[in-house]
Amino acid sequence: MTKWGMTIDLKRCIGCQSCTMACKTHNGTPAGIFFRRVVEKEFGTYPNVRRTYTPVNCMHCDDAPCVANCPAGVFSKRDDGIVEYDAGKCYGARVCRMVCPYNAVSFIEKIEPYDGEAFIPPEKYWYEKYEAGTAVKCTFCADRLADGLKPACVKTCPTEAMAFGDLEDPESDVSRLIRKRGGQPLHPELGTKPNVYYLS
Amino acid sequence: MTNATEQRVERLPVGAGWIPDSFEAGFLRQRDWRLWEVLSFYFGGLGTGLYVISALLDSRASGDAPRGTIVGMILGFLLVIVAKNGSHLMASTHPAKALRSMSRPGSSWISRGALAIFIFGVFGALDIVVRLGWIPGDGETLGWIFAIIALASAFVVMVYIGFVMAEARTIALWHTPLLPVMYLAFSLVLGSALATGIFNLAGIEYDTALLRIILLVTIPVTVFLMLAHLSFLGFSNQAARLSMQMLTKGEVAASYIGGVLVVGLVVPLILTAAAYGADGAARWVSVISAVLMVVGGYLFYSSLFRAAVFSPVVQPGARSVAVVP
Repeated sequence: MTKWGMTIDLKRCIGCQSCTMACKTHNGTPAGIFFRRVVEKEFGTYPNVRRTYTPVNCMHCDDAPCVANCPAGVFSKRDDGIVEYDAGKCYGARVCRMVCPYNAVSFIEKIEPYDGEAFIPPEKYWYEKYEAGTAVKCTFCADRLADGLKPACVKTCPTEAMAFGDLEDPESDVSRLIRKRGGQPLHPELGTKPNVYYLS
Repeated sequence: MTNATEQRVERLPVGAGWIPDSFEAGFLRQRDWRLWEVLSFYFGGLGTGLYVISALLDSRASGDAPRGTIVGMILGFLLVIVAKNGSHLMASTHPAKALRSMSRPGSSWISRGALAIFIFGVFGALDIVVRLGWIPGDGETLGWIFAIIALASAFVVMVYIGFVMAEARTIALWHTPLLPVMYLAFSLVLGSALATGIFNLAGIEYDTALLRIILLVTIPVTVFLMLAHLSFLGFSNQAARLSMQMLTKGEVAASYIGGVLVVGLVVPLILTAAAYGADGAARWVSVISAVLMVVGGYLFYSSLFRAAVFSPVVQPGARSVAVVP
């Protein structure tokens, strides 16, 4: 059985936000909604300053708090490991936003045009699949996976910082990278068993 | 930078590490649950507390005729069914789908709470009907069954929100087993306070001594729980310490320490103790302390929402994402 997972090489990430843009372009998310972000942090004092970039998206946890705590059953875990959502069931409790340790669930308060005045034709097309007042999140581009393609963020990354594949297959790129580089998930101490591993 | 952004940045406490958007590592404040959520939880605590305390007083009253204390049960019931559910619907973005909230009782505390509210709605109403003597014949056995189920479901409604909030693993202010106990304690204090106020204002006879004893026990317990909660925050992670600072010295301090602890609990405790054994003026003292407690209770529910801080997704300054000390 396939179990999809991702690795993110922090040494390769240059913080260009290409993955953020690829995600927005592919998913056509409304203004202010991001399924993926590259979180930045600068620390130290001049001249010893360091800036870190950490791409963050849904970790598709095995023990996903959003799946367990959503009272309406919006989130569910697929056999291939993807945590998918059905926005049609969402009534806006927003408990998913409280319990997700990765700030990976977005809530569409309202759908507005980017220029603040009128929707341009692509926006009208993209936003048809979203409904204001519902929760949304990354699905590892499940529609692309169904077509045999990799997630848009993985495909786009100019430094090939990300790998995507079957965690159950010991010979897949992700399994080999996790073994070789000692990949670790974000906040393993929370016990959510994420399926996105970071290489540092 | 737009004016709106400038204003938002200016309000950020210096050095606290607040972030203006989600693309920078730092502490995030809880912004999703606001007024209507606070009101729904508050009315739930107030209503179930009033129902339980009034039911206790009603059970101790004598005589076959309907007792005045049943007014408290009816009001408590309405607070839960009308005010709490109404606030929940106002908070929902798609209220037509709100019945789905009961669909996951196996894993979701919101679903368990929603089911408890439904059961309370059915059996609470039946309990009141039996107590009013509207069921022909001897309804004593039925009455006991209805009362036990209604009180058990009211108990779940009192505490479930504490369990919902405790599931938020990265909000240290909420992620504690103390929270359900605190909500239970506040619910009983609020119920006792509102019962005292209503019965005194309406001139309804009730067991004054019993209600005063309940208040003299529940208020100190609640104060102790609040202080214990604050103490634990001091020994927890940085997000917890930020929340504690907000509650004790920051923008929520006036509400939490001044409004909840002093005005809402300590002052009513002194007034209740002073009024113990006295009559006459004690009636108005009881009403005043009841008002203070009801207002303080609201501030408790809102303060815990306002001071909630998420731990950073990526630890500020961390060189490796995997290590979170």
